[in-house]
Amino acid sequence: MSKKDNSFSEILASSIHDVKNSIGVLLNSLEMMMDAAGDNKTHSCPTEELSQLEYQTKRISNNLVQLLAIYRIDNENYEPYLQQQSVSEFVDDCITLNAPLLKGRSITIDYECDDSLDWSFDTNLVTGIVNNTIVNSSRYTNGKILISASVENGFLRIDIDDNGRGYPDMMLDYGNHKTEIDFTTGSTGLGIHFIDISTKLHNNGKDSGYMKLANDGRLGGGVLSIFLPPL
Amino acid sequence: MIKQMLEPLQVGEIDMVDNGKDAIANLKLNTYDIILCDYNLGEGKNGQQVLEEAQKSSLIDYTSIFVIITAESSKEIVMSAVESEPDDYLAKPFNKDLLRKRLERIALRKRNLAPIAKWVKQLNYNNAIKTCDLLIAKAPKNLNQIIRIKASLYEKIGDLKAADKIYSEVLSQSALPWAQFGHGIILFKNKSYKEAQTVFLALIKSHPTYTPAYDWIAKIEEQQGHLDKATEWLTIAASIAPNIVPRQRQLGLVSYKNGDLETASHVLTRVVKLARDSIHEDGENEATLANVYLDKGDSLQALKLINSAKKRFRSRPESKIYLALSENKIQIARGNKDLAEQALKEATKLYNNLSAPVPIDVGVSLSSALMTNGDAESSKTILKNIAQDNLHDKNVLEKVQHVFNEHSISDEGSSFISSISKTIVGLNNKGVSLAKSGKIDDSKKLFKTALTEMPYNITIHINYIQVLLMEMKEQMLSTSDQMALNSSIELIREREPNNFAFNRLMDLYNKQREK
Repeated sequence: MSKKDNSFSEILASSIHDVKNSIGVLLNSLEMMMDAAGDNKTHSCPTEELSQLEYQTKRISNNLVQLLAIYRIDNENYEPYLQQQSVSEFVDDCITLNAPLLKGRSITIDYECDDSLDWSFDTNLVTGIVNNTIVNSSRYTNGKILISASVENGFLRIDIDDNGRGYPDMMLDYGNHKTEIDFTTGSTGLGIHFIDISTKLHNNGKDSGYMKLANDGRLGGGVLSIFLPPL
Repeated sequence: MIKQMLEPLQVGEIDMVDNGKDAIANLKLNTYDIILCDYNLGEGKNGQQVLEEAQKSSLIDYTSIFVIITAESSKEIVMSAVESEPDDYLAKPFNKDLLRKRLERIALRKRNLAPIAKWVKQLNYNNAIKTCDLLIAKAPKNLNQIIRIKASLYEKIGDLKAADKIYSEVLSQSALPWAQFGHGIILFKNKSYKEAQTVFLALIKSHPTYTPAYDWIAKIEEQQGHLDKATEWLTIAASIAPNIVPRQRQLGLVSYKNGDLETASHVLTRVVKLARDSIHEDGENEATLANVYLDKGDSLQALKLINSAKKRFRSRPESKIYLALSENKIQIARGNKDLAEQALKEATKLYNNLSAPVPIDVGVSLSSALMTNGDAESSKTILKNIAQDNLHDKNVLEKVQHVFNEHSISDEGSSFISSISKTIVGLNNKGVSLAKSGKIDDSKKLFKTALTEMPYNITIHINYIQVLLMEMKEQMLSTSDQMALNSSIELIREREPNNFAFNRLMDLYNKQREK
């Protein structure tokens, strides 16, 4: 990469950082408006449109977070910051972050996780994964999302299920590494690419993390599973 | 935006400031339940520096909730900030529901710590420990946290054995990192360096980002004269969590000691920059860096640094002493005898004007410079005062001895210290035996006179208290004796609240008063 390209990508990254922060503020204002609209039935702004606004803003926000992470992984030798934490609290936090969106779309979300389960992982990256999947599911589900976390074969397994019509074949192929992601066909690959490299970054020298996409989930719809090795 | 988020949470009063300096000023004036502090506060202190200062100056206690909020996700920043142990570290973007959830979770975790905090605030560690026991018996959710606090309280009162017993008990259940760490430190303090090193090495093997363990391994290596290895360990820790000033400073000092002037000047330059606006900014960093420049043969650069630092620290006499001492060295090297002498005079003048108790390190540095400049008499006067007041503290005596060692008169140093020690031990013995044989008044007089000459000698204060308590058993103390008792107690509480013998006496005193 030439010097010129380098500085351009740096400008791009710092701009993404900046825009991401603005979007964060925007999202909070939006959520306050939704609260107000919910409280006040003589609203001047229809909740459905607010919800759509929030969904799209969340998508932008998540995409920017992912872009920034991918930039750092590629250019700054990003090393994951593995932090021991309570998995159920972590999942609860992710749900809380998306509660206004799900409420606006009348989606119920549940989680199943042993309260005493602790694991080491990079909070930022895994939050990105779960947020992205929840927002995506909120578009395709028929009203239900389930997050479950447990230990399977020594790995932490987190599943995000919905009761929608499932992932299209192309996505399944991407997610399960049957075909390379082709970014020229549209934007659908970014989320998967992000999840893929973020799980792989969780590496204990012996095993590394991985993802799986399937359509035979517990709620009958699509299910994303991530597997993170023990530290 | 944060304030908006807090509104629906129905928080009572909210104070807002937009920089670290005002944050500290407010923390000094008020007690806050919750402190939400952005990492990036623009010019001046950052959020981590605010937290460090709040901790060091006891502006927050076990029950305060301190949350660092940040848009930064760079690992260096996160690792360094987390090492300062905020209660939580909240990455943007987040919403009000998440903020609420996190705050509730921390509050729940800390709710039962209030009675412990109350005793600690009154410096009554024994009661704080008793309160821990009451809580532990209830097996609350934050059991481990309370056990950890209890162990740290034992360390505070100097009962290392009891602290280590707690760590060992915890470790027999599971290898929790804080217990391994605590156990290692106690091994170190008991001079079991090899065992301590084994513990720390095991800790970083299972928890490679537990950076404080690296500092201790480095300390052990330094202790054994392995300066190269010490440097290596500190370098690893500094690469994981770089924004920790004491670690960087240690790295600079060890490199300097090791004769690696390049690394020393590089690292210390970083320290000066990093310490800016923080509680670690002290003028000593600048003085050391100037000394490194001087040793590198660049006296001009050294002088420039001192001159600019003198402006920056113009209202801080202690810092100015360090800078003047460095200037003295520089001017000697440049052949300006008069200017060198002037700088040393300035340092001495500043030192004599410091309000007591004078910081030991400043006095040691000054006396070393005086000795180098041929004024052994003034040097020894300062050293005598330091040794007298701190006879109970081996580390201080080592520092005094070191001044003699530096000037190749270590034998003179040991006899200097032992004669001071003999005098004071004799005095204490005499006072105690007088009291035991019933001559309480003579004993009191003896200790009182001794304290006018060495007002900070802890042992004399403790013996004085003991004699007064002996009298108190028989009769009410006179007003002047009661005042003397109070001032001795206050002095030790301030300077050595964790002194084991003192705390025993205080238990006795409290029981006597309850009767």
